[in-house]
Amino acid sequence: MSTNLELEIKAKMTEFEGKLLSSKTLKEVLSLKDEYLKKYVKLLYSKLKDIKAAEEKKLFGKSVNDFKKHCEEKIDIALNKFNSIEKKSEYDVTVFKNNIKLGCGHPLIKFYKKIEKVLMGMGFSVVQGPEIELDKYNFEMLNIPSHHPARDMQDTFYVSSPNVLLRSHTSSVQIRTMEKISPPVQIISPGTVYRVDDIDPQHTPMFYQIEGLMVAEKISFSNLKAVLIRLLKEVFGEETGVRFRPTYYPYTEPSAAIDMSCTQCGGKGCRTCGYSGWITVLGSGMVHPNVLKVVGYDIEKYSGFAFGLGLNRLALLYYGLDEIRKFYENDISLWKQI
Amino acid sequence: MFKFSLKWLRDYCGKDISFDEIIKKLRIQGFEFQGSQEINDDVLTAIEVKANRPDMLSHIGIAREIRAFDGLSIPSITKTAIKPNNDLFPLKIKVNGDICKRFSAVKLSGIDASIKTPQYISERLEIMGINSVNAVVDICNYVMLDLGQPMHCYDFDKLIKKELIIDKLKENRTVITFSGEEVKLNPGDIVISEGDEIKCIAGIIGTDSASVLTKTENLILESAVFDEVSIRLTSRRLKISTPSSFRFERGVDSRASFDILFKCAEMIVDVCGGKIEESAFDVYPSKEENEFLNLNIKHNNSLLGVELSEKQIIDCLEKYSFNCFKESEDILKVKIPSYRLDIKQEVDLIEEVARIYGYDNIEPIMPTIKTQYNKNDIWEKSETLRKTLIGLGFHETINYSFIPQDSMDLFKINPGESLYSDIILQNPIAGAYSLMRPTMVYSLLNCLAYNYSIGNSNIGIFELGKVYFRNSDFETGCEEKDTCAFIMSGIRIPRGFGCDKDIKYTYYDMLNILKVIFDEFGQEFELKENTIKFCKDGSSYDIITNKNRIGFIGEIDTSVLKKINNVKLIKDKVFYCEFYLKGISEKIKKIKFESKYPPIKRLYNLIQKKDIKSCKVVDIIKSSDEIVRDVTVRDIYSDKSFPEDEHAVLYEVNYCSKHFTLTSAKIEQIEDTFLKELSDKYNVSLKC
Repeated sequence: MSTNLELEIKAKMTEFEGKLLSSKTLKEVLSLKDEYLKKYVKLLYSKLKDIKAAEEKKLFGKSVNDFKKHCEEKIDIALNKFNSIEKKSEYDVTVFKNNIKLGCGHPLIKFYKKIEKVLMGMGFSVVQGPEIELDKYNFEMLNIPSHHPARDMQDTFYVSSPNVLLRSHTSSVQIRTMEKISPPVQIISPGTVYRVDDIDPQHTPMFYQIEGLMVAEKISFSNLKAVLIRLLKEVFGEETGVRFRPTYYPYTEPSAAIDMSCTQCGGKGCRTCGYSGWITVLGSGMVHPNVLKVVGYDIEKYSGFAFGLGLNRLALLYYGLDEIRKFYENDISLWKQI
Repeated sequence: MFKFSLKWLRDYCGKDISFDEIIKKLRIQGFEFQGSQEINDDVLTAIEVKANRPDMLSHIGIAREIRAFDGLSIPSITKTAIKPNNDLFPLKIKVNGDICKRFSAVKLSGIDASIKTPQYISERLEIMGINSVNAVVDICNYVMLDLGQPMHCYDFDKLIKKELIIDKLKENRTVITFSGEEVKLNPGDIVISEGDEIKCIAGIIGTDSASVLTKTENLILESAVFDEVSIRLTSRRLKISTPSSFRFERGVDSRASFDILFKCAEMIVDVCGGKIEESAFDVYPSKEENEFLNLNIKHNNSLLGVELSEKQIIDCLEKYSFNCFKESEDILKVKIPSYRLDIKQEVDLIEEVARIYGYDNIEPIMPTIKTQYNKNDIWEKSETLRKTLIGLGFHETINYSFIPQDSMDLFKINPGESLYSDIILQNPIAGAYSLMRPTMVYSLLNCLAYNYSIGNSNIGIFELGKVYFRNSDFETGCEEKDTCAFIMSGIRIPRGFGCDKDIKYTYYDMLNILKVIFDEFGQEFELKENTIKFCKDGSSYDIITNKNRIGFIGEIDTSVLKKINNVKLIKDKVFYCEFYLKGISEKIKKIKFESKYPPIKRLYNLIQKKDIKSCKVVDIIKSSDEIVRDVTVRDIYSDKSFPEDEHAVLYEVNYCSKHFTLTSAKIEQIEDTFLKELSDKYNVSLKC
């Protein structure tokens, strides 16, 4: 009896495989599934019940299971083929409902955060100070006495002349910080600064600046170079070229202007960089001893460097925006692109 | 900025030096190229000269830098053999030493000023943009551009009293300048006068009363150095800036001025004939004494982070004409060239060493510094707020801190009210950018309207920034508050995908967003009705934390909206919220496991009077039994079937016990308790 059944199962298997091969539609495969996996397997199980001999029952049971497993596998493969076609038509995956949206960050802040991340990684802490500032913090204590020609560089807004003004740089925060804490100092002071400038495509009376300061024992110009090269390469990419050239700021000495290879042309020269291949991005220098003295630091023991960068022009380049005033027009459709 | 002529520079640097070479050498030494222009067979080139290097405002100065780059020098200006003899000088000259560092003069007799200016001089002046006047004046200008010393000359025969007084003016005066302009002078302005007559606004511009004309035969040639600040103050007050005032403001080499006087005099005599009178005049009230500075090699190396030997440093400095002498171990005594007015202390010399050694040759070395991270509370709060608001779909904006002067009237904010300010800039770029904003409502409302006008409608925007108030407790007299504000209007969720109509921003969305933000910090808050006049009646509430008012919410009143540009495009209600960052603080939140038994949710649609705030109903439901875990308002609505003063509120109550599985009977028992209490207390009933 068992051999007969074995043979029957084998025959059914061949029959099933033949039919499956000639099946062209999902419906046909499903009817095969019904015929063999449901009805026929059910029949086999009922036959299995009738077998009394344990050994025979075991053998036959194995054959039934093998048959079932084999058919299931074959049918699954066949069904998957159809399903992959069928599923595509169920949803239109080219539709995005677009009613859950993140808001957009302001590009100046987004760009600032890239810089902040690098500097905070180096151990700089963020400090803030007032925008309405005293002359002494904005100029006097930074080695820029009244009537100094360097004041021409920064045309200032006054709240009440001559002492209360809108800060023209965030260096004022450095002075306030140094007045409060002793070295080592390692801070950045980000924020809005103001200079008298009419609003036109390339000028605004307000811009975002970040300044950094590191004062401790034995801080040198070569440290300044290392920190700022690292900063620019982290933000703009390892391939960025960086060069330092002498310049003048009343509050640093030696002072260095820092150029980086043009982000638009990679240094070949283009309209953005005035065909020089370089863009000036940072002002920096060793903190002038007069400035350290005025906050009561021991200049025999401590030295330090400071740097500052205006974010607007850099962010403009970074995002390829054409007009600097657009940062304060806040056209949200532009923000959405970044 | 200084513009130089290529041909002129080649007189000093040799005919063969190329334009590119000049630009390159100047750039490396810190003088940025700013543009050039070909004129005839010459090139006029502009470079940036910072305030510390007035010696670079002359051709000789530029030539010195270029030559020194290659270790070459420029012959110094010939020392004159003539010694001053003030007593024999044909003019009596009185100098106020506070305003004049050095005053030298010489008399030239028998000249012919009608002689034509030599061609090379007039050509070069023309290229430099200076009009030819007559041979004498042209030579004076030429000497200034060549050597950096402004010169001045007087017609000797027009000086009736034969005296000159260099002093501050004591009264108001009006003079006509050499160029024909009328100038009103004030007390304190520095002038050179003869008796009552002002001959010159010292260091700035001459008057017409003693000017040298073609018929002049005898002249007084002046080479002076005035005090920088005095010149600057006068020049600023009069709003007159001339090539000579520009140089005096920044500093002129007083040690060379006497020799340059004779160099100029010789040039005039060479061209115009006549002779230089023997007795010259010279007073030098503030003689530059400090010719030497010490440089400590260790200081130099530690500040720059280099290991330069004594020889390397000497080589650097001597290349640029700083003569070095060994003072002691590690200390060099350095002689400062007289024209280097910027070198005043040791650090100036260190900068010079760095500049000459080359910034590019200094090896970058990462510092090792042990500082501790200082948490910045406000900064971290700003970041949390920014992320939360962006997550809620709001867009970040940054607006000008200054708003129109009349915006207080526009928003009906009166003196004495908490949002009032009158911090007005003294020199704003325009009236519309003059008041330091005490609230962000103007900024955000305008920004919203602007976005509507360019098609970005149905949005919420925010700003994290500052607002400004007068407060005499602060040293500036002004207090700045870090502020967060958001505004929204229009459609929040557009119809479609099962939503059969547009869902607009409502007042309740604003409240919800406020709650979400404060929950992020774990900060509790209350709302207390206020009367902000730019908000619709009954819509404005103060936000209170720890009993302090820290901001407000409201729906902007249409009467205010009407006055804003483009606002017509906003058809929907506008909701606004503003609060100060100081008023929120991050609370530590704890997680507690509430129950292992499943919760049950029930909805109750209650009819209540509109003046019964739902928080009161919530309180009663919550206090009815400890198994009431949470009560949420799911909806508020009314329609025509309701009496005017009533509406339906849908409450969702979440029941959960810590000790047993809930049964319907238990819940019904609690329902009966609170429904009875609600009915008794507030006449609230279950909607049938």
